[in-house]
Amino acid sequence: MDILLVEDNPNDAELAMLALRRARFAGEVTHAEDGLMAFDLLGLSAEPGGPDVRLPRVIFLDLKLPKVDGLQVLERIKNDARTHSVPVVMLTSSQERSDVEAAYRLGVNSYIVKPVNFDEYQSAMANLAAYWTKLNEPCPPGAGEAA
Amino acid sequence: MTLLMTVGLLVASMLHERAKELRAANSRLAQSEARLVGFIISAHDAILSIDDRGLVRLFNPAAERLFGWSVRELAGTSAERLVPERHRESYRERLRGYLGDGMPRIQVELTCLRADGSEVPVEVSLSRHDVAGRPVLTLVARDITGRRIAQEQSQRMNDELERRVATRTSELTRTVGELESFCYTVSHDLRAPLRAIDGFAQVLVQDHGPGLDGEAQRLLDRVSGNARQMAALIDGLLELSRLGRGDLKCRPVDLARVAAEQAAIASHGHPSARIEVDSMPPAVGDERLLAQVLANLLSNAVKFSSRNEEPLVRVGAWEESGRIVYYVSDNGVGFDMRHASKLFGVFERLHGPKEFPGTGVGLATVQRIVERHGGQVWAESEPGRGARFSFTLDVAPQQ
Repeated sequence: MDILLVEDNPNDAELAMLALRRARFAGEVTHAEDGLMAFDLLGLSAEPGGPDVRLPRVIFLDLKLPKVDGLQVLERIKNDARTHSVPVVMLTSSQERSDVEAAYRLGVNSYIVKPVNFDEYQSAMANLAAYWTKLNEPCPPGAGEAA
Repeated sequence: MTLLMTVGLLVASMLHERAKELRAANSRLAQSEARLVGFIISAHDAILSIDDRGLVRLFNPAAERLFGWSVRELAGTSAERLVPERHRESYRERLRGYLGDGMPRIQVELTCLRADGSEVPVEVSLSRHDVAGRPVLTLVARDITGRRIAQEQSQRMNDELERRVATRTSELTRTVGELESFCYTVSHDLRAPLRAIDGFAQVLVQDHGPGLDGEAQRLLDRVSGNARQMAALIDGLLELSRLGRGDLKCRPVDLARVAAEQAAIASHGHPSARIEVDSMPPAVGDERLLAQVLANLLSNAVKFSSRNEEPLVRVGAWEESGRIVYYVSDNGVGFDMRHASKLFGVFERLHGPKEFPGTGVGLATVQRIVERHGGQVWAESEPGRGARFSFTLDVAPQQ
């Protein structure tokens, strides 16, 4: 898995997939419809010491999510030794200072306001996918847990 | 003999005169005393006097009415009977002080005891005189029950008013908070479907264009254009809502420098526009917000003068009765002053989108920022003769 997309809105999820496909992104994108599904996919629903889960190179996380809010999902990911070195990019509509501050306080790696203009949106998605899955060097396996 | 007789007559005449004078003086004294007694008896205020042993010496009818004691019952007895039990200790101490030296005429409010055991609030004017070398206190007392009731009523009304103001303020604060949170939620939730409308329309045009005729493509472009316009409106609303919140970070700001920076940004894409920034006195305010004011006014000035062959925008200021008036003027299309009141309303536009693009949030933003700084903003113009937008700010204190 290259990208874990956590997005509850089917329109936004489809647009993200469309944008990545049109930008000829060849990696594997997994879609989680809410925070709980994301925890399952990241192996956070199981007790520590369970079977290894293949972690994504990057998580694209929406801010407003049902059940568990985006910021809570972020907090859980960053506070668990198994996932805290996985880069998380907040992909949201909110430019509210309080949201941006909260996300950075919880350790987000990047905060992106989704453009309404589709061309700009597609270009942003293409850049993000290329940067985090190709350019960026991920944390070596195990190093994250030891840290 | 003659001399003796003369002297005798003179003495007799002097004695006679002296006796006459004495009689006249006695008569005047009697008259004066009668007037005084009459005055004391008929006085509306209670008048009483207390000697240096604390005994009542004078007690007029008004005092009888006020305290409920008759002069016969009280004369020659201790004035303590007029003092409620709980105040007697302090009364004795004060009495000693009043009878002592150097006591000026004073006015005090006291609570007194009536014959029937009830209490009455009184205002007392108190003065000390010496009679035959011994001090005597004269008290003029007035019932202030009515005034006390009025004061208490007024205090109660004030308390009630303050309580109501506090309730209303908290209700208003809550309503404003709810409105802001509503505006925030609506603005964000509205962006998601807009992104979808624009996105799907774009994908349709770009990926399936060959299958669509020209009219279909044009209509899809209109769909996208409208989605983007609405997104711009929402951004404007969000910006406006943000400006209403948050604290102002006020400090002296060099507005000439800020204007020059904003002028450089505003003239991008308008190479023919000339923007002249005059020297300006520094103001006190939140630099980020004041930069937004100048950015909005300058971009308007550049936009509305873009049809002039030689567009000219000027930024300047003058000081006027303790405040500074800043202005941004242009030689653009101007507007009819009949519409001036609409200019600063949210989403109000005096020109169609085909003439000049815009969201109608820029001047509302300017007004919101200037008013949050305690200033005023206004516009002057004539159609075809340019416009001048002015706003006031406080003068920065001398460093």
